[in-house]
Amino acid sequence: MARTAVVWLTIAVLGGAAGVYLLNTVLYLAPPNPVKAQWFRVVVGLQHPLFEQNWHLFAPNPIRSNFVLTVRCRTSAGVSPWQDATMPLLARLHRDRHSPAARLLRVQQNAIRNFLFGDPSEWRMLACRRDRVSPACRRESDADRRIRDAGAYLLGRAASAACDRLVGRGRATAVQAGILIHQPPPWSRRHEPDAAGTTHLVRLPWAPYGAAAEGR
Amino acid sequence: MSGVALLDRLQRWLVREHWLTGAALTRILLGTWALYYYALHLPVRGVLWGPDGWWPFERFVAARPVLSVWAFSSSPAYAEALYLVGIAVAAAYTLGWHARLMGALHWLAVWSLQERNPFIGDGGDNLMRIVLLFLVLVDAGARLSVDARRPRRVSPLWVREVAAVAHNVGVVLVVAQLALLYASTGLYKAAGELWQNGTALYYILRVDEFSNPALAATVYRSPYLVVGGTYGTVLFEVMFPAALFNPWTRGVLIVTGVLFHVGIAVLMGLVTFAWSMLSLYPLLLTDAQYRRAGAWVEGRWSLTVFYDGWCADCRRSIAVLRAADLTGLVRFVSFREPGVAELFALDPRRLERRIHSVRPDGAVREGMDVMVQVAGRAVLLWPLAPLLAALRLAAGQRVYDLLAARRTVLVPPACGNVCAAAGRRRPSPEP
Repeated sequence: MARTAVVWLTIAVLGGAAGVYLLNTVLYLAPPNPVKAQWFRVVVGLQHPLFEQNWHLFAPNPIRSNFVLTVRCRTSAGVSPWQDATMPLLARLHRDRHSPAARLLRVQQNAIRNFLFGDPSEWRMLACRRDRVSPACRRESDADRRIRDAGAYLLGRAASAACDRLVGRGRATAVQAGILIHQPPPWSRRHEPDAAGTTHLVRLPWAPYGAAAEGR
Repeated sequence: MSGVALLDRLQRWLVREHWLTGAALTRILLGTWALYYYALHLPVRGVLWGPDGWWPFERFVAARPVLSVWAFSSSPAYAEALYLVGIAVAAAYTLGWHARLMGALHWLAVWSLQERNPFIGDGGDNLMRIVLLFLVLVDAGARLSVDARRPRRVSPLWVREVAAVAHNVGVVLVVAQLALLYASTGLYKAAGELWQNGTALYYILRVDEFSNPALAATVYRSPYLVVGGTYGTVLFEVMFPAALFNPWTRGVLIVTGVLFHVGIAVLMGLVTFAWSMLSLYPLLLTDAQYRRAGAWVEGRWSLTVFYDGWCADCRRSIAVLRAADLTGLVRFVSFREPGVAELFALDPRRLERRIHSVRPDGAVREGMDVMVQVAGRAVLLWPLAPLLAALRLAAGQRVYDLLAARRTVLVPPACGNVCAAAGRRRPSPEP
């Protein structure tokens, strides 16, 4: 009977743990709601870091803009014209889906999105709807600042790498990144080319040049 | 049924391992995913994960990574070594060599790599690192593995039963995690304006990062494809958990899911995402279903091959073919064994000249045709199959006969009167 007892103990422990995990995950994945608010610390504490997850995947609203990283470089000879640092990766990816360009491009695009949007937490957005002047809403929370800083830093690295190609490795003294935000035409004008969309430029401040490892 | 009887049935069900074939297929798919990923990024590993890469070591450590083996040293040699160890572990896991230990190490390697550069991931990577941890509970090496080919140490009954409970709970967790993923994203989509008005797919396909320029415009200009694709996505994702509980709707889910993810891979170019999601699909079928499918395949595609057991080169070649035939579809028999030719009603003189095969429907083939048949059935020889088929079409049996005619046949000493005339000889090719 000792065997049956051990087996039942295993069933109880593992089954119980699995049940708690699944229930907790349901709460964790649910939109902000009263039960989740009451148990928030427990829910997040159980889930992070091992089981952190986010399945928004183009929801509730899919991404609908192209973000193009543009770069110019300052050298002893002057300032270079703006250059597109996204198109080469994109062209490579479109030529060959089995190319490392997919992930190189993703790092660049995630850096842009981190820099532009900061903390995507829906609690922040909820806090924002309730109180427009709260620190979270004014993008002054620690999490928000960390995410934007990391984005800006990565963009500086990407810009430095682009300057290595544009003006020669190690020749730039400072780099400036700009983000072209291009929105393609809406559904009602679907037959029009990309150029028919709207575009605006967000400029980052000049940053010191920082060489990164060779990658290609 | 009384409560006690119900509990008894539950216990008896739980102490037997279910979904073993599915777990093995999931292991192989996730393992080859990692091998593909490592190989693809070999030339850019320094930029993505190296100490002087885009996210340098100091930044990585300052962000306080959780449990990343990459944090132990900033030396470039250490980073290179980790990458190589990661490849070795993924290969061992794929092959199912000490599958559970390698599964745990593979989880650690994947987790550490993702922590090293947190800007590179997508939903598929996120799912993978969670299920790899659950898969440590799962006996993923019981089938289609190196482990399965070695004699297993027999553990006491209670150990096996506890392991079986852990295995079953692990599989349930993986499938439940997949279901929660679909439900979560589906419900969030249902709340979004563009998913409601049916144009979400249009806007996604106009973003360069998520579109295949060869196909995107054709799809996004068609109202039917855009609205159908948008609503179909939401419907499939929201229905997924409920549809799991019925074998028929589960079948529909599998077919729809495969089309859905392959469509995403082709149309949006998210290859690794599709791969990691579909890697979990084998767990949606039961062992009994795999057994039935296996019996059907065997009834149609199994093959008996007759080779010359008196020829050392032939025996060595057959050993290679047998090792390459991972699924065991081909049975190799020496026609020199007494009674074989009579049993299968084959002509011994023809058998001496060329290798022969018999299909379940009785069709007999010989020479180069047998080579093509075996290559088509032995998984490891699949890459060679088109080459052999082309050779057969171009040169017929000539290449085979040339090789077969040069073989040396040694009659075993115990042969007796039956083959006294043999000795050492060279069979002549067929006229």
